[in-house]
Amino acid sequence: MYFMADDEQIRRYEFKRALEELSKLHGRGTELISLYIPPEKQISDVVAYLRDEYSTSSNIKSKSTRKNVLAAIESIMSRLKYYRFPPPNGLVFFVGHIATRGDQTEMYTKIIEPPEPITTFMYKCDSEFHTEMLKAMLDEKEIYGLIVIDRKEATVGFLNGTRIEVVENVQSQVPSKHHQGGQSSRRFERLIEIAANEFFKKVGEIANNAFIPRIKEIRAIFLGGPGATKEYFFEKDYLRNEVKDKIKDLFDVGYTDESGLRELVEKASESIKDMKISREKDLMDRFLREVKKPDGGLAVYGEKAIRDALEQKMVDLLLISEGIRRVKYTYKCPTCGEEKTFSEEPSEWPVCDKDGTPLELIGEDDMIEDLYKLAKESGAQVEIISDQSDEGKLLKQAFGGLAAVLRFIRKDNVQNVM
Amino acid sequence: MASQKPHLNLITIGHVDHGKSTLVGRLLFEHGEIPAHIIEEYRKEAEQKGKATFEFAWVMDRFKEERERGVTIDLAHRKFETDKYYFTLIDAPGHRDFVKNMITGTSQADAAILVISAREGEGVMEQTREHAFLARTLGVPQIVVAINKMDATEPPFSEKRFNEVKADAEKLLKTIGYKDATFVPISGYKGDNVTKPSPNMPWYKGPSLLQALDAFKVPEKPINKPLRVPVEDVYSITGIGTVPVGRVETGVLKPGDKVIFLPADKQGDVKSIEMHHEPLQQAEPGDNIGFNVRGIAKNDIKRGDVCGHLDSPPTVVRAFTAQIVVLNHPSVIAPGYKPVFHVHTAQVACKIDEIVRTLNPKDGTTLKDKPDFIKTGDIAIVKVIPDKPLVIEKVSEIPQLGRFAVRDMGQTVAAGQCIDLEKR
Ligand SMILES: Nc1nc2c(ncn2[C@@H]2O[C@H](COP(=O)(O)OP(=O)(O)OP(=O)(O)O)[C@@H](O)[C@H]2O)c(=O)[nH]1
Ligand SMILES: [Mg+2]
Repeated sequence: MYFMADDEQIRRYEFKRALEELSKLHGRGTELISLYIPPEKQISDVVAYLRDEYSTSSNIKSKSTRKNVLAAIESIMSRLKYYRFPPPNGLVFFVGHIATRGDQTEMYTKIIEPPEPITTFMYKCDSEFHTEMLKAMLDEKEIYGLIVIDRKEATVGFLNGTRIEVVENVQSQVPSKHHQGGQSSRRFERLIEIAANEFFKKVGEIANNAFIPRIKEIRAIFLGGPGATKEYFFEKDYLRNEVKDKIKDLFDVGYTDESGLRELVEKASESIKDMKISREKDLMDRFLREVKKPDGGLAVYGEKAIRDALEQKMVDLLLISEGIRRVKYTYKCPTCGEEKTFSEEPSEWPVCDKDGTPLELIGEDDMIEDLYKLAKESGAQVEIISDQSDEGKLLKQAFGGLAAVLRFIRKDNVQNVM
Repeated sequence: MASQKPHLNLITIGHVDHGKSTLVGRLLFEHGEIPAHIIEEYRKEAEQKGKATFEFAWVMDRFKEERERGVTIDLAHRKFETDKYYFTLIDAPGHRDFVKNMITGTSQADAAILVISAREGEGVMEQTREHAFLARTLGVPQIVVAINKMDATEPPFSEKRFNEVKADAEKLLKTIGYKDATFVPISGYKGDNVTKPSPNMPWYKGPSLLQALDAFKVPEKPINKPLRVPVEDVYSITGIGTVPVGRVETGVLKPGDKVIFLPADKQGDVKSIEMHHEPLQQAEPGDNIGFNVRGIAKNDIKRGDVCGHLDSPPTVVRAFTAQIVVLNHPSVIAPGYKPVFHVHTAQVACKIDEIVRTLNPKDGTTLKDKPDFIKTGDIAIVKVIPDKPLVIEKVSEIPQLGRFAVRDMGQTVAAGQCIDLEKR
């Protein structure tokens, strides 16, 4: 795989796409090779290892499998000649004959320089490619713990990058203010305090159990809720010290259910700017400020308007949702020339509507990569936005996953979408 | 036997610390509902705890946390009779974190006292606006404005300052749709103009606050509609059993009635009904009651459930269509958006599933079909899907249960009415 840009975001995106593609492929026999080379491994050692495998593989019974495995090893060895050392994060080869239509096979090669270092050398020959180790690199690294609490209810959860996950919501049975008023009864008050203490203990346990096993990964824990209950809960010993140590800030938040977690994340992202989610919110804010203006301001959205603006080099900031349909498959009829496009790979091979001839695949365009290239050429800032945060969902659902802020407005040139 | 006077539910609303609880305490005190020695006791204790001047507020602020911080957290109810009315006073919290509780109280109110502090640097503030708007959208028809802390203006009891704050408040109320509110300059803490004219403000010729309250109109009683009692809270009282409390919105409830609570889906028999510790033979719209139900445990039902008769149960919806107005939204609202809806006493996260069309505010004609999004100032028809089962009624059938407020990220972002629904 050859990364076309030095940009972290698009590398990550392409990496993700490559893994998705690899997991769909399989071989007719155990003939697909996955080879993981850590950065500190000598290339000569790898070559020696492959020679060994080559001679072992010569004993494979099935003639076609043997032939395919040997061809794959040869292919890897010949490519290794171009490397004196592995690249900084190591190297991964996926090579072999993959099953295509009917009982056909086709030689397939993908070489990946992963975004994070490979830690162990691995050689596997199987009927599919092994991508687990690489998939783990996509796991969210930015994990925060979340707690919202008052005397009636509490919710514990995680913020995984930009996604909020609820661990548990609990309701207390703490009685509220005695309805009819009357003289204050000390006994009633004491009962309230006992019930509240029990409730806080339970919430503390839920939070400890959720956070302790992942305490090393958790960057920080945010605690919120209405009024002073959160402060009381924090100061007393309901939370274990490891958990308490991760609490950086207390936030005023009105609700204590899942909506409260959202509010908490919003508040936290306003004050802690190095969170991934704060960055996304800020970028979307810039676009939304424009779109809210009566004439749509400097905002445009939707594929056509964006392409037009990009071609005229008017885009300052392009926001692309990770969640939009990414690949456009174009087929053409070899007899009549009719073209057909699909936004997903069709499950059955398509035929021409007119004459029933099987179509030929003539193009496979990734919209994100395509727009990314176009934007970079015109000097626009491009950002890929997740589809997990509120803002990310908004981008995907309300704006078709593509939004841009222009440098200036030329009403005669831009079809304003409003 | 309860009073024969017409019953009115009266809520105090307004920004945090502007003196709502103090005013309620004062009203009750001057009416002899609270003996002087209790106020004196509170005064000493509050002073000891570093909360001097909170003695009147303590009448309603009875939680430990409320007294320690000097902030009202949850609603408190007290009865209070004038020559003309039997009032249930509902004291609401002003702090922004507790707007959700204020909304519950407002959904039960027939009239409101909007308390605004006239102290320098105070006046019309964020929750003054939010509360006034909520009162209007949740259907509170009448409002009196108490311009409070007149003893603390510069100079004290300044007519000029009163007129300034009054002008701001008048402007706010007009835009919201309250036409002719009464404005009374008072000091809740000192007692000026609360129940009798104040010698400190000879320039003021209008009614005292009490007179203004008696000038409210008697609300209509929709007794011919099906019974609906949204549950505000549930108590389990030793020797009696489970006692849900709430305001009768429509219909009539009697001991012996067979009732159902929805969406909890629990049934029981009404054994007895009480209002402010007095038994009732029949509860009517506006009555703020506690009623003992046989066959139901405390944990079976909670705030947000609605009680109705078995033969015409409250409507639980899978989805509903609403007309909303976007009041104040920091970005835009698009399908998929999931804020919190407050309907009667219920509070449920709901997804805006579809924006059907936007309307022209002038004549209600369609501006745009299926817009991509809506923003502040827009009026729209939307399809809404609650996260959890919810009782809501068409506003054309039971308006009391068809209105709602929408909140998100600590603000009231929209309000609306249910115009159609899909039963569950
Ligand atoms: N000088 C003066 N102080 C007042 C007056 N009314 C209330 N206060 C003071 O204002 C502070 C807040 O009073 P509260 O009655 O608790 O205010 P509140 O509006 O109920 O506050 P929340 O319920 O928390 O929103 C207390 O210190 C009161 O003594 C008044 O008329 N004059
Ligand atoms: Mg108060």
